[in-house]
Amino acid sequence: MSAHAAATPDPAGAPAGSGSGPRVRRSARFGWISFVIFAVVVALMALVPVTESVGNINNLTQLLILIVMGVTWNLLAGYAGLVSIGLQAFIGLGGYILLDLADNNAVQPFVALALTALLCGVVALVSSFVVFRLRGGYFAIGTWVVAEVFSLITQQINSLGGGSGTSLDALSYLEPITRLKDVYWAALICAVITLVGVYWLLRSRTGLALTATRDDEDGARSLGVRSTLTRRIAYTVAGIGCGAAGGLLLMSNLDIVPSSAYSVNLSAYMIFIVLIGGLGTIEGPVIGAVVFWYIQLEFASDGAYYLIALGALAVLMTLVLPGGIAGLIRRVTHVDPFPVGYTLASEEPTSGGAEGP
Amino acid sequence: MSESLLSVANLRKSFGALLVVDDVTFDVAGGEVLGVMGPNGAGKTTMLNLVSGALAPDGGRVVLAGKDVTRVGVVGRCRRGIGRTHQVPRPFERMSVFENILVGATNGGGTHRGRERYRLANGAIERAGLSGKANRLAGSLPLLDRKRLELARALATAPEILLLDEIAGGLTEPEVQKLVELVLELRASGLGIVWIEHVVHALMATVDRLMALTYGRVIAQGDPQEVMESEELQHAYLGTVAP
Ligand SMILES: Nc1ncnc2c1ncn2[C@@H]1O[C@H](COP(=O)(O)OP(=O)(O)OP(=O)(O)O)[C@@H](O)[C@H]1O
Ligand SMILES: [Mg+2]
Repeated sequence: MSAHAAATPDPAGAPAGSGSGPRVRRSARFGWISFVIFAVVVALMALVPVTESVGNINNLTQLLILIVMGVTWNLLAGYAGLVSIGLQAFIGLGGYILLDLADNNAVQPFVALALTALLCGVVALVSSFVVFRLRGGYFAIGTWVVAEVFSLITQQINSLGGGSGTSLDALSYLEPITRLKDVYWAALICAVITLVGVYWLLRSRTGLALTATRDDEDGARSLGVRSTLTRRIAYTVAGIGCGAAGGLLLMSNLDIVPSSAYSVNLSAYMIFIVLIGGLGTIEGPVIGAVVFWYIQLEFASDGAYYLIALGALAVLMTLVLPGGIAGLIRRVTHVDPFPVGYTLASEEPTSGGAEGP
Repeated sequence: MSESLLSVANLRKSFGALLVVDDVTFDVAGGEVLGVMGPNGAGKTTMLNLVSGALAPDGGRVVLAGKDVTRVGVVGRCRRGIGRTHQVPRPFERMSVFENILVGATNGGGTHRGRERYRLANGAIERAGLSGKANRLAGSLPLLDRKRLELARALATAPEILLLDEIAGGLTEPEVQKLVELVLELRASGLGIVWIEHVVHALMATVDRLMALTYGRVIAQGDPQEVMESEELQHAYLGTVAP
């Protein structure tokens, strides 16, 4: 087909073989500042096990896991138009795959974590052939049903502790403090890979196709976008991210029960994180994860009131600040710290800012 | 006639009991413009959807450059060189105009890379009259610019066959003239074009042949002047729109 296309005249009127062509900007002015900040934060985070107390290390591990979950949910809802309330399917599955690999098959636990993430990606890819038959609200519910099915199946497997749960033994070869530190570093690596990977994906041609599909699937298809394939890639990536999060949760908590590993509460947390932080922005879910993490640390012991306040805050935020905290910061500073879009440089003075998605 | 680039034979489509496209047959060669007229609800857009692959026909064949593409979906047909505009624009509202067009340049006929797709997108912006609006959000565009965006995106897919669905409505007279010039230019560069249009004088200034549809049937096809003056067309429009 391309041989045929190459021989035809250029209908867009681009001067064939002309020199440089239009200049397209893909970074913000002073965009390097955000990357310096990112690098500094990551470096400081990497030092946490050296500088902080045991309690803080464990708490920050939870924060990193929340970041992975938030970024993943945002990839689907914010950039792919796939609102799911069933990603806990892969979080729970991640925990149980890690458990099985490490405890029952003697795989080195940290190697098992990587394998777990990949296997969850494969399961997400396969399950996409079922859930992608559904659209909109039906898709959201359908993914939840998948999570419930995974949970029911897990409860039947005695070697994984059945319905009453079990604990991970494979990490007992480490001193408790060493284990906390190693799991923390693993969580940090996962969070960085997730952030960088999602950012890279969104800046790629797949990212362009993904956001086009999100905004108008039929329109995108008429321009040659393989919309289903594109969404499948995003869903697979989400499976990988959630699988890693689930594996890390187990390595950090050491206990696992189907009812909480596959809990729909996890979806509620992800939604909260992304709505508070800013849907469809790179930095939003990170900000949201920090907010959620702090609220959880301070108020989780208040039980029911804590949950009510959480819900009320989410509703309030969506009414008052539809773009979340990241949206507010962008509106005030007019800066997109991690742009994924394209700006035609020759028209910049008149641009109202190509904020992309 | 030279070998046809697009060949459509006996296309048929019903929605439930309603037969909307009924045995439509036509050919378009490279460097040729086929105009399509017909009253509202005649089935013009549906016919276009069958050719672009957005809809699957109940019967008939679509052949592109000698290859039967009847079973190829809309994505595959776009990649093989069929570009189209939508009568009701379908912009990617949360993306900029440039990004919208880049989607076509990246995924369409040429599946271009790097600078090449930027050049293609930039050229399409200029040709469609969207210069100066490249970095605006598509969702903020008024209807006319949305139509221009449809045209620009279709051009950016580097099509060999271009399907246009009512892109002149609402344009001022000088703008219509520019559009006519653009279509003639595209024709001269070898594209085959199917143009559905109610703005008759724009059609008459560009098309090589004219086809008239009513109730999904081709009632006249051939020399534009003759079709315009045919009794069938006069009858079809009687009491609806004066041609
Ligand atoms: N998806 C659909 N389902 C059911 N009926 C449809 C559908 N699409 C179109 N129709 C009907 O098919 C007929 C032809 O519609 P179509 O849009 O093809 O007409 P048209 O010639 O493009 O009209 P116009 O000049 O108003 O654009 C109309 O009666 C319309 O109501
Ligand atoms: Mg129509």
